[in-house]
Amino acid sequence: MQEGALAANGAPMSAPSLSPAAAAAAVSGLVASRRARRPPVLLGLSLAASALVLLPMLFLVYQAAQAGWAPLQRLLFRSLTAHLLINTIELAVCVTVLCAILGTAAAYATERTDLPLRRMWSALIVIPLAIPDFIVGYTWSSLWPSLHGLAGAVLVMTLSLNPLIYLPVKAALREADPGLEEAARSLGLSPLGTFRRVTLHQIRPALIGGSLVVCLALLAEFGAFEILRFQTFTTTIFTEFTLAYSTSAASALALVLVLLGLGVLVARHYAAGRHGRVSRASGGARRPPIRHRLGLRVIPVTLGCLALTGLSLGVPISTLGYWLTRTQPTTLPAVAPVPTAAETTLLYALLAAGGAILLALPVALLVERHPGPLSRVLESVTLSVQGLPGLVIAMALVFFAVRYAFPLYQSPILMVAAYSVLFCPLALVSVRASLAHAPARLEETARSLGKRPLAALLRVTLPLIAPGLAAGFCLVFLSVVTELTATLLLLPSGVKTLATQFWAFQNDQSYAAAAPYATAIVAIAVVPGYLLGVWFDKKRGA
Amino acid sequence: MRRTPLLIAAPLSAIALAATASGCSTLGGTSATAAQVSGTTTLVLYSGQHEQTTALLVSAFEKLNPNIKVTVRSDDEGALAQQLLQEGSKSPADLFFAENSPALEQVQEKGLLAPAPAEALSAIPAKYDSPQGDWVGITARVTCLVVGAGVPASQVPTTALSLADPKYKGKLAFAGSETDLQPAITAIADKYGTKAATDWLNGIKANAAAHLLPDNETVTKDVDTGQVQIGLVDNYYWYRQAVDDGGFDKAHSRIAYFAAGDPGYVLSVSGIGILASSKHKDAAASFVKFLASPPAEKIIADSDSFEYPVLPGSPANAAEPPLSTLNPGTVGVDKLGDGSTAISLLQQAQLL
Repeated sequence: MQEGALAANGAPMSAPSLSPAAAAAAVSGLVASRRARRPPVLLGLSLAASALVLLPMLFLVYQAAQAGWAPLQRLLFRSLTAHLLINTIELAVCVTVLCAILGTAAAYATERTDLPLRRMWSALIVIPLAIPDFIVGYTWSSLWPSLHGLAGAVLVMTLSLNPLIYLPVKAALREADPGLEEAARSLGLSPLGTFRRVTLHQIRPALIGGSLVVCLALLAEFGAFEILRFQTFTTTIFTEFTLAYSTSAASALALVLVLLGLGVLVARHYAAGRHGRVSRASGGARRPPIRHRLGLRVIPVTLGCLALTGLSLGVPISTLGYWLTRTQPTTLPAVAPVPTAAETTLLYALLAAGGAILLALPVALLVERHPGPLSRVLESVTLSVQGLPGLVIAMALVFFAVRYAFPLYQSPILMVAAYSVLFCPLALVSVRASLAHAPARLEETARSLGKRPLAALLRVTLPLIAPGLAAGFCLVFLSVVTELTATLLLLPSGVKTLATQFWAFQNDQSYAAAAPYATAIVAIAVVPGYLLGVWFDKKRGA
Repeated sequence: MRRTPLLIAAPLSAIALAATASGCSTLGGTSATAAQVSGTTTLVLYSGQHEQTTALLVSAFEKLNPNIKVTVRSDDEGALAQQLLQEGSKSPADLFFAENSPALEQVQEKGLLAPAPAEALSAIPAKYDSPQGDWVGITARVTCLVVGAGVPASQVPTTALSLADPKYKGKLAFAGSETDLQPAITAIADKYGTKAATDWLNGIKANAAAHLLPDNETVTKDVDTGQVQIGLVDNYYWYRQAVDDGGFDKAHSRIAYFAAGDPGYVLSVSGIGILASSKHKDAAASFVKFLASPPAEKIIADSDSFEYPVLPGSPANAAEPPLSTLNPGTVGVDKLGDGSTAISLLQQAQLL
């Protein structure tokens, strides 16, 4: 591991056997051959990952084809559909833009300024991702009963989704070559100009990737909009599935969502353009970037962080506190006590986060290291699943597992697989953004020194992209902790997670009984949020 | 300098955990082999009913039948019915306990239910059971209005049809996507025709334009907190809300029933059926018979779910008026069917 660790931690590449000239020669020789062949193992793994992720799409096409045109026409071409489409698009645009601004600003403040208590802010900003939508929605609608419709949905979703941009952008800022910024400053560019012309360029893959995930997550969102009385396309899909029992109609509508998702992906493609190299210009030398001294500006920046975390974290937590202090006169005993449910949740979240990273890693490597039409298609397929509601993905897995893998049905393995598929896009975006910063030539050098591909991956590439892996792992972990619709369908019978227990009580309006489960969810979520911050800071000290 | 591998180790250690946890009960999984050894049967119950009440029923049943274990899978009844349809003949479920009869009828229409035990069918009055004898009614509830504390009795509608009257504009709330709304729609369509039912839906939609809510819990809560005057719900929601308020005298709202026999005054039934694919039909039948017996109906009456037991001679929760004193309309489970008429009317009214 030493070489990898060295490269990642910024020690110069001074392995004794390697003279710079020899390295350069080896690299130029490799670059020529690199584009030509994709490693078959990597391709195979990527295809397998994409195939798994593609299952829900196959299910939708198969089911929609069963329906025939007439019922679909009746459902698709009516005023409600248009209304829902407009709602969905309005919401996606507003929330994505707001999240991009907030997430980037927060990441910049904690990564590139001398803001006091950075580690704490860093952890606090991420945690709202793990607060169940219901709590957020409930809190806001009880604090401010008239808050519904578009404004309410934008507020609540922005507050809960901005960490999806904050995390990858922070990782990108962490990995970006500070040399470029310094050069820009020394050439007389203002700080703002440097940000706009250099930093923004460096974080672009992360920013675009994060925005994409936010956009797709909004397409699939259901729970929060129910509470906020804001209907989107996904609400109709739920209705068709669980009220009208029309799988074919629900599937046809879900395919419209897939088209919307693909539209977002195409837009992303153009937004990203032919992004140039964002990896370090020099051969791996790495220094921490300069932190801007805030001076008196520390006050508005701190107030900004306080406002963001206060609204996104403080408000829902205070609701939980209120519930916890209320005594429920006739609450029946819980089906699963908090510690048992917490253990189940924790194990599933860890396994699923590992699984999602494993699915995403080959695809990310293929896309970044061997770009081409095939890898682009594979990536798009993998990402587009994020735009599908959890219910659709889970139903598809029920369909396939019952027919072709019955022993796995309602087993822990299928549950973990479902989570991995469901949240693979989150891992993919984070890993890919990190890979964009890891210079390929370091891997090539390792190869030229006789390392086998797997060894080069383990000892050079993975340490280089560790921040992205960590960010992806934490994102998936946090998302699994609150996932409900797929969990209810695929969890082994009789097992309870914190989220399903919370749901059982809140469904029944037993908020005081539900509160301990929600509190445990938040407590579990604090761990990855905190670890992420700590790990980043220790690394800086190294 | 060596910390970097830690982060790589995290996903890997998670995978290692998977290996060690594969036999771990925390994650769940089948204990079928263990059950076979010890001679017990494990039943899988898909339940859309009140989770805590179901848990009480299951543990009472297991006490009476030490050789039978019941594993409960709780979810929204619609999602469970959909899951059963996807699973088809391979379903791991032995029993389906639904909150409303249309969910059971959906599964029944696909031939996925086995005939219910005759003993249970004869214990429960036929009007609460499956017309084909494939499921048994266990609890019932009626549609009603929840009315804000300050609303005088003279301003409370006495027929469901009058809810569409423009004079209730801005005063009404309801949840279009609740399964509980569909019986009232079906009943009105049955009595006055589909055209009248569509007009009625458009009327109540206009009256409730500012209060089209996601579920009946929210309807009840919004009336109780004074945000709207009248809500169309089922009776048990008000009792659950009152418990949440701290007692029946502490609620800021009350129940109002429609006039006797009003078509919108519908009694709807929650029931249980045995899956045709069940490999433990005898054990499943004993669970169904248990639910249709006095001890189970007493658990239901005493629980917080506030639904009416339908077994003759089983008293309701003391807080509620007895079922025999209520006078709902005549539409029964056969007319309610699988709910498809109501769904298509709701879709025409752009409520779904």
